[in-house]
Amino acid sequence: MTVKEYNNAVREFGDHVYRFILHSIKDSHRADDIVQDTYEKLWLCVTEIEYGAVKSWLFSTAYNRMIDVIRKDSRIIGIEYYDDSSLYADENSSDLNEVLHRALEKLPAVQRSVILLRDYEGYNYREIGEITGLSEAQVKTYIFRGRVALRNYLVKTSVWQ
Amino acid sequence: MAVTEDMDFPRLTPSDGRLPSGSRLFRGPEELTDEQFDLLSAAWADDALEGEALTELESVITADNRRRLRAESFHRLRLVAGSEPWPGMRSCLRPEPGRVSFRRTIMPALMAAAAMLALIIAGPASGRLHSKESSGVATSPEAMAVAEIQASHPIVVTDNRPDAAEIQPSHPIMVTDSRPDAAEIPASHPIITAEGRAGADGNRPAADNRRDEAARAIHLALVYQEAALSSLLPVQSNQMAPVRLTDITPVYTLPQEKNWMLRGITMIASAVTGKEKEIDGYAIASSCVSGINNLLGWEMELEKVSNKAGDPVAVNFSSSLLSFTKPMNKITP
Repeated sequence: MTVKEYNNAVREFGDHVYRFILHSIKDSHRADDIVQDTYEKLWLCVTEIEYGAVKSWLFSTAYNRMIDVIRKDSRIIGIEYYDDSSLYADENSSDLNEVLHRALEKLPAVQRSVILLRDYEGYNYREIGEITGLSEAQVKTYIFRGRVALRNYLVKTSVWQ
Repeated sequence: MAVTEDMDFPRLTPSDGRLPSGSRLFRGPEELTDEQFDLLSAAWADDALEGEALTELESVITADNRRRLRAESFHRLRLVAGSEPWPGMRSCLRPEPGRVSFRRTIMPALMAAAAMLALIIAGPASGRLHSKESSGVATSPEAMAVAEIQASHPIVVTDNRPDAAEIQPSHPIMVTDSRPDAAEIPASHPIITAEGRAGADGNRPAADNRRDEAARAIHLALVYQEAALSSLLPVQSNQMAPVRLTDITPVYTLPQEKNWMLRGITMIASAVTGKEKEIDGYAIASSCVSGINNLLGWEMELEKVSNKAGDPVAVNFSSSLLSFTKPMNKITP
């Protein structure tokens, strides 16, 4: 990858990676730091990565970095200890997309990430598996469970009757 | 095989017994619980169902309107990305080789051009400034070609050259002197006298320095005229005597240890304005910066830092690309 291609990767994918991380951890400063670290890593191995593969490399590296940060902060909620009751908080907003994003914050980090990758970036299950280090079957399971949880949230908060 | 037959082991044969309640264990798609149906619906909405699974779900959806609505609701569970821009994008961009060479070549060239422009502008500007302060020389927009001298003593300037009349209409130089002890200054340059205006200021008191000032003004007028004619009338200027820089006598020069450029500018400025004043290097640099900012729309800043006594001690320069502080001393401003 050339310097020009690197800069193109910054311009083209920077916002995408940032939004993915921002909505995964809901902390703009940490999200900015994580994306900066990711691009710093990319710059260090800029000559070894093909431009065609740089997008998934960025998402994968940023995701792993985010997991490290979350673990460091001890804020991770394991899927096995996930408490479904946290979903059913009162919600008054009528904007569906906004409500969905608030509901998303209540999902476990893994479910949140795979849904974001699926909806924001349109990755297929295999690509999401490569980014997150999960199998394709696991990715499907997390996405479907996450969507059911989101739907239940909307129903319980009376956004959907 | 043969060994088995030879040994004739007994074999266990399964009985005909069947699960009596087996028929009750069969399930149809319509018997899926809501949770199971939701998971299938999520997969269906994600286009992840195929084959028999898809057929079964569609059969349920077709048969049950409530479940159809429930399944279709999953289609609406799509997150739409916001427009949050990444604030750190600029800091991650790396300079490309082409841009680096551009900065290293074009920018210094632009700076040098701007500095030259400022120097060119500084000369006439100081001349105009002098004209406002002194009554001996009055300048107009064509200050380099016209000088009018009003003094109490008449000064008669004649020109013996045959081509003087040809120059008169386009580039006159008017020298007026009403002093009684008019000095006749022969000149090799064409000068048109305006004696008709001599009586206007005839009652003004004479002063010794006035005479010197008038003489210097005439001298400078000759130099200005020569320069103006050289640029505006190239054909005629070829017939005139060249101007010698040694004719210019600066009234003030900086010590040798000063910056050569500043010494040069100060020398020229003192010859033009007649003032013993050192040119401020900061003012020239500040003009350069302002000119570049106006020309290119940049936001460079040049600031002089003074100590408590008011003496300049440093100059701060700041721009989006470069910021530095240059200490100042008395020798190399």
